Amino acid sequence: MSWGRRLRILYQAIFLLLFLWLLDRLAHGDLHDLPYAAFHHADPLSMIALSFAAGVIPGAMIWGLVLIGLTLIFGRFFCGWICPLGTLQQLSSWMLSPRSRRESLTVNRYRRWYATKYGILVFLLVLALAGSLQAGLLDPLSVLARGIGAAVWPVLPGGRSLPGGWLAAGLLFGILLASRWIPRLFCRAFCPLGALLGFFARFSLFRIHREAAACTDCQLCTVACQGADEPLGEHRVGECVVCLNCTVSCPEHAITYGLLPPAPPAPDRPDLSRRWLLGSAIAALVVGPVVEATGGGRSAARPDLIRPPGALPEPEFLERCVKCSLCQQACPTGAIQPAIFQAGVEGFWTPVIVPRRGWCEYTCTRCGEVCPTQAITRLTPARKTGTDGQPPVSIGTAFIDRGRCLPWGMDTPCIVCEEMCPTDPKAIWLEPVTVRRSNATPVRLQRPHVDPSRCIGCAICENRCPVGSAAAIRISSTGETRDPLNNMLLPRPTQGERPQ
Amino acid sequence: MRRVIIIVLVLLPLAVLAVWIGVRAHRLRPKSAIPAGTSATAPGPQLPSPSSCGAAGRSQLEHYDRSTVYDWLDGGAAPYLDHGFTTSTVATYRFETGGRTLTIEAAAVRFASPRGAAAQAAAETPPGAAPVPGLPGAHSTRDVLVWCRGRDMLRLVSFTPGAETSGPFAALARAWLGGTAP
Amino acid sequence: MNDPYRHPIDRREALLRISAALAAGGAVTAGGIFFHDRRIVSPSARPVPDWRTDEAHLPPGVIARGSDPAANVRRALDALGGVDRFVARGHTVLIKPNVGWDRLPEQAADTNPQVVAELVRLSLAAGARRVIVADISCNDPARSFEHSGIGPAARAAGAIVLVGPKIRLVRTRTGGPAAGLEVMEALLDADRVINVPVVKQHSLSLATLGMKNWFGVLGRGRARLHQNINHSIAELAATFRPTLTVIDATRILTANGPQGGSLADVREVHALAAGIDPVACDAWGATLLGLEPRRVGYIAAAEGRGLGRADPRLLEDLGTA
Repeated sequence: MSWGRRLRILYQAIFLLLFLWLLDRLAHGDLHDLPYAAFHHADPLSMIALSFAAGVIPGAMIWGLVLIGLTLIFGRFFCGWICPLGTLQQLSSWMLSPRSRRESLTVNRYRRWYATKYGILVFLLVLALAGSLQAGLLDPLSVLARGIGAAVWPVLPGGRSLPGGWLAAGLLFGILLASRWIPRLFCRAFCPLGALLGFFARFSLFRIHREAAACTDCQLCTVACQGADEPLGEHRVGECVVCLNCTVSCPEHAITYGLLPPAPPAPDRPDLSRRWLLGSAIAALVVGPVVEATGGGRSAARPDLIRPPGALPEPEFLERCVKCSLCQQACPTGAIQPAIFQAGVEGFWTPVIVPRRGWCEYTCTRCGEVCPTQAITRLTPARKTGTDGQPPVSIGTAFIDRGRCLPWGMDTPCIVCEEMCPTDPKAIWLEPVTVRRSNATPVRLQRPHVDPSRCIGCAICENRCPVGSAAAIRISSTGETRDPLNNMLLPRPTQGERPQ
Repeated sequence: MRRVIIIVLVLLPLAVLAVWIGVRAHRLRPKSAIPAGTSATAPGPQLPSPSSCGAAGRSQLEHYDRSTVYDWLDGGAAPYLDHGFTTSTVATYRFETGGRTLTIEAAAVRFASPRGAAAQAAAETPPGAAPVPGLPGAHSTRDVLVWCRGRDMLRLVSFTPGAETSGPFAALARAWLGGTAP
Repeated sequence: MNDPYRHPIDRREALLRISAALAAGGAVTAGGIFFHDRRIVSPSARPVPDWRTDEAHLPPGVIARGSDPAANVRRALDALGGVDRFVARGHTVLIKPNVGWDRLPEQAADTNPQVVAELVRLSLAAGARRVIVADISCNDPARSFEHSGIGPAARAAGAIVLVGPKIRLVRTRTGGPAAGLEVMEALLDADRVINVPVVKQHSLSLATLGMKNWFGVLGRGRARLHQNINHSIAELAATFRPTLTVIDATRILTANGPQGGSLADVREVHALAAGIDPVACDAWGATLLGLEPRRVGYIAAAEGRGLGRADPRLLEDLGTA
């Protein structure tokens, strides 16, 4: 049966490499239509939390149902065979910590506090019901994607720095380092996706079975166990990640993995008191509204809260964004950054556009293409730029700071913002003037003006403005298409409805 | 035998995955947007620079499409729209000839089909207009020149009554047709 | 008495201690000398070579017209005496098109891809060891090279295309307004340089042509050059002396430059100019936009500095093929 373990290792290697390869292609601007969000689409934690928070399961997120179905058949095979964060923990545990058999025996025993993950799961799901979607913060796929975006790409040659990235990198490194002391500690004790799959795995048809008559109680199975699910005692199906190490390690071939094993299934319920579960739920019901009301998020349109093009209105956006960081990594200019403060407590690590780090490329629609939950809706280049006849998608408006602007404030020629402006006709137009400098020499200038009805807030003007530190032309979120109320102008006339 | 079947079954999803990724890897994501409404055949509904036709000056170019054509033609827009009007470019040229200033309004108009352009050009051509030497298909009177080329129509109207226009008309039309070699 | 503080040391220990102190001091001194940099100038600052060939008997440039851009390139270079006169066996040739913007060829914001590809093919046919096509785009470089068609066309023609992070920047010993800016290293490494701009309107300098195209070899901070743009462009033209300038006027952008967007701003001219006088070539390009060449500040400034003659009539018009 050692074939089982070899196949498991093959699966782990392939899926880990696939995950990293897709992220690498995404972050390095591959122009092909690869399934960048495939892992996130099949994530039932995001799917269920999203359906609780937003009341919908967007598009391809429905693949999460397939994973639940497979879990009902095979148990938590996702954790042991596919999850790239699980694979990385297993790798780091193997590399960092050569253990004696005795140590392994101790460390691979089940502990009651491993049930913490069920509390976390209940907390996150009830919080989602209360309207605040935070499941992504601990979702292993998002944890890994964020961590790689923060800890790997920035340090590679040509990489862009990511302010605040140490938070995501720290969580990932912490999880991997913890495996040095307890293998797969995150999976065993904290992972909400593991808890969710563990819940469904209790019904699984395939499971580990120990032939008690052949067993010599040698405990070698526990020594090799990844999930701390005690194959020797009353096997905990909800903890088992189907690593199949026990079947290989048993010298008596007493342990097998198969369909509907003959012995009655061992009793298995999460080893968590009702008081704990209730407590988690009540905590979420208290925390949710408080964070929503006082977290500084959705209440008012903040000037620096510039969401990517196609983003839903702020409340719906927060109900859908799982903070997976894919849009941030997909952005070719590095404009999309994780929000640390701009979006309030609820919006921590949601994507915002920071103009001094990048701009929204005029015909690029990448963030919406990769967003697994369609918190950023999918645009076509024609729809985004308005060449389809409808008004273009705007994410804000540029405002000129005349005190800082070279032609306005310093009597120095400059037209960089107008030159960069991508709309046609340009939203920035130039007014020719001749003024006298302090020494009375006349100088001809072209002073920029913004036509707010044409400006789409793409921020390339602010990004390229030669005035250092704070630019002389800056974007704020007013005028964004997604929120008609955060708008200073009357709606733009559409075709056939021109003002007389 | 049973083991081989199991291994094949377990490997099958990986094969399906590989095929799927392979298919996706050969598809390109959507390209930049091509502006709607016009195609890039030469000459477009564009007007030549004043220097290329010997004019002394030119007003700002004005562009119109189906939704703004009324701003340009007001009541006269209906037949244009019926003939498949898509876009137009309009400007006023100033010529200095023999001590006189000559003002000519030039309009380059694009239609959805050559047939529509020809129909509109026929309707615009005033009675008594004569063919213009060197410009096959063009007709003009002293005050108006109309020329249809494929999907495009050029219309020149002199705002200076009675002036001799044949030179400036021909220069403008030639520059409109063929690019503007210095 | 066993007072540890008054313990006399023997000769062996004394020697040991002294040599340890010497070793530590030596290590620190050696490290200091190793890392010490006496040069005030950054060590990577490099001179900009002059890529011109000695071809004074050639016409300063020619104009070729016709609907096939590649044929225009071939005819123009043949009229100049063949590409062999500029590129020799073993040369590294850098072709600098304008790939500033994420636009399609029809929008005339970037150099025509067929023109670039034909220059690549001709250079390779003349025996060039390698041909590099590079530009520092204003928009996202990957998208700009892909959508302009220049990346695929140049690669298919056999060029090495340097995009985005593949471009290494070094400091140069340039003076004037470009002092302190970084320049793409591949440019300085090249034996021959062909400048291939496209003709576009520009609201400050009036026209984006060949000499303005040198903005694209500069790194961050180049936006400041706009504050004295005519002087800056003339300065760049005096710094970067290309082997050949090819002005692409297959399609030109007459408004909303330098990136345009609407096809209403595009005019199809189906012509190009090639020559060794960058000022004369730019002068011809300016006339396409309806500009009097010497009214374009930087063309006049470049002529004033003796970089060439701002007279489009110096170019021999080969006519339509």
